[in-house]
Amino acid sequence: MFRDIRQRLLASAVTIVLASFVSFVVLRALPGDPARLIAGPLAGPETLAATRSSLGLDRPFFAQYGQFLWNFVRGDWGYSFSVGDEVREALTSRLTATLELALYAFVLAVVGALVCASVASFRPGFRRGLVRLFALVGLGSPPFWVGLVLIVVFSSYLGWWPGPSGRLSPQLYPPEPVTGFYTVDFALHGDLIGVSDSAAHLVLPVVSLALLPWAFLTRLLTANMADTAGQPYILVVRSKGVPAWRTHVRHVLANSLLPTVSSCGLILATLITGSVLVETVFNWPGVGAMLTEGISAQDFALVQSFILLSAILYVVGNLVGDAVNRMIDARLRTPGAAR
Amino acid sequence: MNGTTSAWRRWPVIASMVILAVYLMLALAGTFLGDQANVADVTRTLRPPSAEHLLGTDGEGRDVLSRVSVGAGISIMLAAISVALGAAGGLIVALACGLGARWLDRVLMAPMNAVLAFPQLLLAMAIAIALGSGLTSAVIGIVVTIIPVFAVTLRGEALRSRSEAFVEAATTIGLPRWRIALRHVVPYLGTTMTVQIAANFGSAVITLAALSYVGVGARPPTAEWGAMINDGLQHAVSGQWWVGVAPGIALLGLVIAVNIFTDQVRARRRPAGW
Repeated sequence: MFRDIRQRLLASAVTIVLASFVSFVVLRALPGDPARLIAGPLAGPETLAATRSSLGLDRPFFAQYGQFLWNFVRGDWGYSFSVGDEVREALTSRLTATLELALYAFVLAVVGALVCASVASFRPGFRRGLVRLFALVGLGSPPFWVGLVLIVVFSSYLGWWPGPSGRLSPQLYPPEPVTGFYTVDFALHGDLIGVSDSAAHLVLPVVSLALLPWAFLTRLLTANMADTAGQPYILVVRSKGVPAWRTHVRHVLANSLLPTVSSCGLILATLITGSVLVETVFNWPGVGAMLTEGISAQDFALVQSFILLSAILYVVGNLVGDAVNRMIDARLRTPGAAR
Repeated sequence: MNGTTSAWRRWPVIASMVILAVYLMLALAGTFLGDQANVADVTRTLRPPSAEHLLGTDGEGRDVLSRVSVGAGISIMLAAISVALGAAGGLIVALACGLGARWLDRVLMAPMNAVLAFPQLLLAMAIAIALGSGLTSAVIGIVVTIIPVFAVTLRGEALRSRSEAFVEAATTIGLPRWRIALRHVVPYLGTTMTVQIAANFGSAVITLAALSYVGVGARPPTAEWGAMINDGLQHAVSGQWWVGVAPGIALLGLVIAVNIFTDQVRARRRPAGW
């Protein structure tokens, strides 16, 4: 088992190094001149040359890559000129806003998928059709458009929840930071108005962010549960007299969870890209919105760090998913059996 | 080809085909409109949907329906180009990896896995930025992220084909490798290709819109769906919902039709899933 894990770790490390190379190549070696971008369109040749050497762009290709990698490992991710701060500072300062959003969306997507897939795969009929339809719509909707529709319906028309006004209503002050999550911090300070206001601001962005991973997980889980439900051991459980619904949850669902767990990396990826797309819709002050601003400003350092970090997160997510699977499922532990 | 006919008769396939045909007609109408859809008219800004403008007008007085139909052409065309290039590239890599020498397999698969390590949209975004924003850069970004998807799935099939009797037979009678690859392995990959092409077409439409939405794809006057949704965002709060909702519904309908088609083709291969 440990040898297997070591091999996976090694493969993941290789992938991350290669990914860092890809992200380096994409933003440094492709046509398009970072020095020109930083110095601006009006800069003269001397300024350009100076910028180029200050960025190390006049050094050999692999020396530049080595420098980039070393700086990245040390935590020096460069200077973001669109934010006007070190990239690392800029990212960490806005991380909690994104985390709060993504965490709630993650919980909503997973719980929603568990419930909906269980209902949909229980028996064919109206409910199954409804879940299928919603999952199909969810898979086809770009998150930013879902956000727009939710604003139109629930904010402009019905007025139930606030529209694109960030994390809080303007008349409220952010809570004293403890966790950085407004909902939690307000609760810790016993400020009920703050809790309800920050929670209300979370509803629409969380739903727009959760829709895609929910749809994906629901489809995956429903397909797996339908497969499992046809297995002979389920028939055995039923014939022992275990009630249908109990069998469904305790045996069919439990035995269908593995692919869901190992899609952990993919869920992370949808949450990361989703936050990039959704945060701008709701003026959510997180990393995703910052990246979008960085994109329009062609802020290479910011974009490069962001995509490399999300690649690392994605790879680690896949690794964790596999590891958890191995802990759950004894069959995967035999060496050679797993792929 | 067993079971093909019965599966093709199923109504979801027909329904998705009909929807796709409608989209093609819409796109065709859009190409006739051409630049007319971009002509601004300040005397009729933000009109709600009416008999004259079925989907209303946007902030610059342009007819939303015409722009949606122009956008249909752009999305279908560019997604098709991206997927065609991505599939072709992926197929070549897969054949080289699956049928070629072991070292070639390793050398080619390493960069494929490296690209797959990125969330698709983010890498496409980075590539599009590096190349300078525009629809061409967006397409290149999408192609680069699609190639490994095809390469990895088709490589597995190509490896499996090596132990199939017809490939062994072809090898035994001494056919050259390229001929085995083209005449025997490529048809063997057909179904997997179809599923992948359909699935990636749907996601390419979304990715293209997302790229334009964040501002690295289509430039402002272009009637691309993602750019239109971005434009509609500022009007959503003040109540002019049609500007942003209409292009999104168009996109959703197209992707759903493609996804239904994909599911049906996939179900024909593997009956248990959906």
